[in-house]
Amino acid sequence: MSRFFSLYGEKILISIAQHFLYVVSAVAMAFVIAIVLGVLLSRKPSWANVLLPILSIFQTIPGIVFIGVLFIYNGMATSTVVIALTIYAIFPILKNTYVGLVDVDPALIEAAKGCGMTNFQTIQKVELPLAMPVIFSGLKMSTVYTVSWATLAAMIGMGSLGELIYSGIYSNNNTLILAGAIPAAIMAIFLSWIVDKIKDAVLPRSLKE
Amino acid sequence: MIDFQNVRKSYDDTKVLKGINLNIKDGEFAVLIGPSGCGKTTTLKTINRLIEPDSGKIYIDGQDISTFDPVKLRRSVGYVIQQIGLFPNMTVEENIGIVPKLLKYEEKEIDKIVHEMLEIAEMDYDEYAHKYPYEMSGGQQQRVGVLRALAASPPIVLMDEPFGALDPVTRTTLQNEIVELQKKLKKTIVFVTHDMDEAIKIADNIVFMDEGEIIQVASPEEMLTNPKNDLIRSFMGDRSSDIENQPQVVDDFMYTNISTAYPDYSFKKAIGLMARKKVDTLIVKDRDETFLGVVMIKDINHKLKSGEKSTIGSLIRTDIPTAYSNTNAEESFNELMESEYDYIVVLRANNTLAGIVTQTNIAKSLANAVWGE
Repeated sequence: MSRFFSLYGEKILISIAQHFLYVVSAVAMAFVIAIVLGVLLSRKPSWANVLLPILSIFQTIPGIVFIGVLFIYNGMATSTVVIALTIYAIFPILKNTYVGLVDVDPALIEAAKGCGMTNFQTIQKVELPLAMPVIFSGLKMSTVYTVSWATLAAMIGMGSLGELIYSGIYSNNNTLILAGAIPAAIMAIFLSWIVDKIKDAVLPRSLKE
Repeated sequence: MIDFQNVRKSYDDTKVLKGINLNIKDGEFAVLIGPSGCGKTTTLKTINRLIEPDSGKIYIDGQDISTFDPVKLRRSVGYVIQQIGLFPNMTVEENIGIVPKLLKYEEKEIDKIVHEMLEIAEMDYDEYAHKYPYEMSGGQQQRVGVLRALAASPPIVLMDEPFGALDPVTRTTLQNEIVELQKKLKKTIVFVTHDMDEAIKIADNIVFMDEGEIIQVASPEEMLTNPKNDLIRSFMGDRSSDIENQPQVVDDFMYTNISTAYPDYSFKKAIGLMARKKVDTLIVKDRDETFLGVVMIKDINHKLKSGEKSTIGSLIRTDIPTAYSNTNAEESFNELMESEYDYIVVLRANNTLAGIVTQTNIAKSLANAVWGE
């Protein structure tokens, strides 16, 4: 066992760090894009009714196909991985942002307008805060998915914990498979715990539960 | 002064407002009333331009409001809606301070306003400022809704059936408070309701609307004595016809739809019930229906603040006036007028709970007696 770690220890740490950065950067970008798109779509529900189903079909394209196609155009680069992961991470957050926003009681929106809020202030001070609980559950879902999707980076030679898992499979080395799989599982649990903590810190007590 | 000149509004083929001409003076309490779909809410919302008329002009103090920036206009006109409309993500303090904040007042100034506002409603700052709307009863929530509308000292306040969702007892209390408040602050209030009792109680002038037109504008007394048509007469109810059958005992005109609790309810359960029923007090009875007293939300909040967790049994007030259902009406009225409570509890002969009589009930019977034919 100690021989295993002296052989792979550094590799494991690098893979964890790589994996973590892929996930965090992709989810962070996806979050910003999804909020903006969600707000825009909630102004035009008729567009959302067309667009969201189409996007959900795109979501069913296997990640490996998409990352492969992007690889052809963008080559073996960090940006290929992050772009692919971001695009996949957008949908769960976007869908929840949209649902959360259209579910806000119209009476409250009218009250906000009646108080003299501009459209932007209504979104910023009333609609988005009230949609936050739903947005956060989308963010959590997206984070957990992205941890598993990020293993695909290994398929185009861009590292991640996937690399340990795939090399383990090819070399019939079960310990190596676990050395990739266990940190990935822990990372998924850890990051979803972090999202919950952020949610607790950000939401007023009236919107918890 | 608010001046409507030939204001019209249609949705598709439906004419909602068919040329409204109306003048509301400074400091007037004007109540718009009429059957549903008569255009009263539409008329109200044209004043802060939540609805834009198709034609016609509205002037505030001689200035055409269609030339104003609607956002600025709304910050200078108070607005209270039926569903209360407090922002659930904001505390009482943040809700009251929202318009001053939009107007970019300084933090210190906003803080001062919030203190003043809570004082007006006799709500303790330390107790309420940091509560969220869901942690208060419906009555308290709508008090805050009114305070929010008043916070930036607008000369005009619009109210769209503000007390419609409240129970009779709380509604009576808030009606009294708003009348007092208006006398003190001299606001121009435009108030929409479908409840003629409410209109008679609070209005300087009642504006009666039907099918997008104003039928009659008159003081409550004038409208009671000289209703312009049969519709208004029927809205006025049987006040003017059945003086013969005036109720003689309290049983004849009490409310029976009341919110009750048992003494072993936890504080939390009692507050939850008050919030759902939108009341400030619960009437406490034993399992065998025997009346025990009342519990008030301020007492519970007081205990909660000191961290106590217990049942409401320890907080029952027994000094509320009671009457038996066969008591002579006049006797119980006298008792109610002298009491600090807004209602009396009506009991059956075996001390079980029968109902309550509120000040509105009295107003109704008085209207019968005074204006009846």
